[in-house]
Amino acid sequence: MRRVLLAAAAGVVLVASGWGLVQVWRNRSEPRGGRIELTERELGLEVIAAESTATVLRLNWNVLRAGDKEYGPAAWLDPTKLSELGFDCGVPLSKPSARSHYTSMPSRPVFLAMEYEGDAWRKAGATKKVKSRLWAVDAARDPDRLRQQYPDRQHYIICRGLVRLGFRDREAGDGTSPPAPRLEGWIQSIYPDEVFVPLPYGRVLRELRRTGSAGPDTSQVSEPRFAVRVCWGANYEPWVEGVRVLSTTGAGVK
Amino acid sequence: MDMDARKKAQQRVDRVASFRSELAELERQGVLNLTPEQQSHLDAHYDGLLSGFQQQFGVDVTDSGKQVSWGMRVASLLGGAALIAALVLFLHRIWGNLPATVQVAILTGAPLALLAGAEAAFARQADRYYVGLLALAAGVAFVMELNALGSVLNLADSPHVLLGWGLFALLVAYAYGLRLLLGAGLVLLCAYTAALILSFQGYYWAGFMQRTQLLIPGALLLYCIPWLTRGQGSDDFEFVYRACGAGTGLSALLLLSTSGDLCCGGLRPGAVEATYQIVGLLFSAAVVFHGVRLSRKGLVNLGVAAFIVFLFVRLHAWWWQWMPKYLFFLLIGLTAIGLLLVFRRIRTRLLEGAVV
Repeated sequence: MRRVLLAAAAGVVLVASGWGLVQVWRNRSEPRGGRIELTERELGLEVIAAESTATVLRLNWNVLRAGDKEYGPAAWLDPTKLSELGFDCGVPLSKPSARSHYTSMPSRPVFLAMEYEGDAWRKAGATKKVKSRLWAVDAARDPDRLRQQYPDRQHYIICRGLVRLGFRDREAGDGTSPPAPRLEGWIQSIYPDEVFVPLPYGRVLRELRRTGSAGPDTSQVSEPRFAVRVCWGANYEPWVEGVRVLSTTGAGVK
Repeated sequence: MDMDARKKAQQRVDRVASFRSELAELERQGVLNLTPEQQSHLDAHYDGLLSGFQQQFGVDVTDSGKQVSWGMRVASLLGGAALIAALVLFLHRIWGNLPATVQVAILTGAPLALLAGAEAAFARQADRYYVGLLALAAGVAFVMELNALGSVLNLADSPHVLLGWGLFALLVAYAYGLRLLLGAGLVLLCAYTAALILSFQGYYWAGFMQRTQLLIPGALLLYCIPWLTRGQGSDDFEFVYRACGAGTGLSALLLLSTSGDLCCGGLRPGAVEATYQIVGLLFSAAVVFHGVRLSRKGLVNLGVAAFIVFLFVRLHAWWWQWMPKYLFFLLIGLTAIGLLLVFRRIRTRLLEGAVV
């Protein structure tokens, strides 16, 4: 009996690993989410551990925020959009139970349309300190609907993300009450928000990390040192297809 | 080697040591004196028994032997942790130079190798502790494997990892009779059911701690499993089922009692919280009394701890806002003393029952 149990436990390990590989194969069968070249502004070199040779890039993105603040809810995630995404916004905001209703709602997984070097960046990016040119511009439960709306795969990628709902009955700064409570929509994250860089590309980026870097915070990167071709596949999960080292003058390719 | 048999042998050895010590005390006080013939007969019987147990199960028959065993266990725990840390750091150092296939092979092979190590230790009749340590390391390696695999392959996280981890822990726990892994497996499976329901509702699965009411059905089922399988499982495992059920259920109620909930839409948030706190108090008291009936100290302690926490939370809700803080803590202290008197009375009654 013990041997049977152990064999089953080993089977669980093998099935889990096999499942992961099947998902990778399925994901990479078609770049449904889009294929795009991003630079160091959008993909920051992440430091895992001091001695680690693994190379991981963190996706940096922006969204147009309500009130044009640096940190805040997404301007386009209004109650109508939140309802479309599946949140139950039916409880009147003035009801005593509204607060507990809305604050106990977990995040919802959605698909996000991310625009690269598009109108959102041109309109808002020029006035911002943040340098990333990747902007979240829309969200939906159905990725195909998003793709139909944003068919340009060179400038729009579709990826997975998390959206959460906020119930605001006090202002963040001074704690005063607004005239009426309101609902806010926040993009909590895109996921996976880190991209592992395999061989041989990992070596190239490791060299750059060794020669000095701004670290994972690329908000201050003015001249990107590398560009990475990333694909989002059939499962809307990313993988690296290629790395280019950009010359320090910003022209040419090494 | 049967783990339960080894445990029972160690318990018997401990009982023999207590009996011999008490017998010596009785002889010193002149209450009972065995004849030399009886004494030698008893000594011969016990010496044979202990020697047999030592050969068969490797149990510790002396106090010094026990202390050395504990020292060895601590050393092996620290040594094992250091070796695993060394291995993980070494892998970090070479990870970026390995192709993806080798990375996947290492990640998959690590828990399997540790599982094989546990089996080898078991086959060599090593102490249960070492088998448990290797099995636990295999479980940790499996958790790390799926995390690292997700990272290396850029996979979106999935609630099904909880199912994988829970099943693995449960299977290994039953293979070697390990309570810690059983507890971990049960809690993981309970979390999996909650995460799965949340996922079907369209929410992000990892947010189940915001909807802890989803944990309660699983927790109730865990608590009831010993009744459903009456007499089939070991006493130790039945305790683990009940402790995990009670612990998970009471924790879920505690979180609900501080955040309000959606299932009682007609009530004000304050009333919802109070309802959960009172339900929590009642359930905690029920766990205490059930633990007393089963003579399970762990269950009693769990129920008492939960009762005190629920009581504190309720009193905090009632008094904290309007009462001077010194008075609040004074009342908390007096309440604790009152509880102490109640528990003392229960203890006295139990002792009287035991003596009768």
